[in-house]
Amino acid sequence: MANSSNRQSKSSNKSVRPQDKVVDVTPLNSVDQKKTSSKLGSSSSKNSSNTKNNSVSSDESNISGGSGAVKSPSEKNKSFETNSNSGIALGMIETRGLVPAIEAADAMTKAAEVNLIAKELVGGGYVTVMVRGETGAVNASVRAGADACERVGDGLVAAHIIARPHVEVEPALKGSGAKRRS
Amino acid sequence: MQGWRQKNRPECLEKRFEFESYEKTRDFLDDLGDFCEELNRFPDISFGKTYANLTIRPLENNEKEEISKVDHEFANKIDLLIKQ
Repeated sequence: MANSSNRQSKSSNKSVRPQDKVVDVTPLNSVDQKKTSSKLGSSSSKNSSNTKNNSVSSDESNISGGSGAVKSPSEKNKSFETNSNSGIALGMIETRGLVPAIEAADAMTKAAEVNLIAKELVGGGYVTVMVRGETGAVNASVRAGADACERVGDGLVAAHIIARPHVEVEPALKGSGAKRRS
Repeated sequence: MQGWRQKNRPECLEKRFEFESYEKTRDFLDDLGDFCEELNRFPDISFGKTYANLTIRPLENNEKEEISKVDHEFANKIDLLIKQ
């Protein structure tokens, strides 16, 4: 809500064409995303400047992990990196569509003390969100997330909780960098 | 302990629970969550709208990393949750 005036100014800018309005849904730890956006040209540079001006951008607000604290983008990336391997258990929810995935992520991070570590676009409209934390917290958060996204359309596809994932699995938990087509 | 399958690689006990609706799945998962919190022991859980798959792995402090009597008892108690 804080940057609603900002959104209005973006939409009134005629240099931004509808096809340029690409929503960045890359993995949450993608640090160099803003650096490598060549195609987006002026629109993306405007977005990045807006991000600098406003400490809460639309996609970054999803990864706050329910803390509610407003941090600068660099601080958020740092906190993600330090939190990515925190906690023991891993919780995953796969949904049909992005909206239930975001709903699930929101419910998960609100329900228990877990870190949202990745949002992966699987393809074919499927989206997976992953959380890490203490086993009990992950258990509760995945139940809450499944409950929330089950109510949104045809949302819930599957949910999974691994109490003690093997250390070899850790690299697979990083997002692939898949982008949603505009 | 009906329906539980013991697997060897890796050692684990598995069972699939089927339900009529998501609400019943959710009720079972809530009961299971409370039960696991009590015992401070958590199986791997995979669930969808009308099913839940549970995988019980050997306890971390079990040196042989084999399914033991304790794990079977844990599975038995989970079965009782469904009958309640």
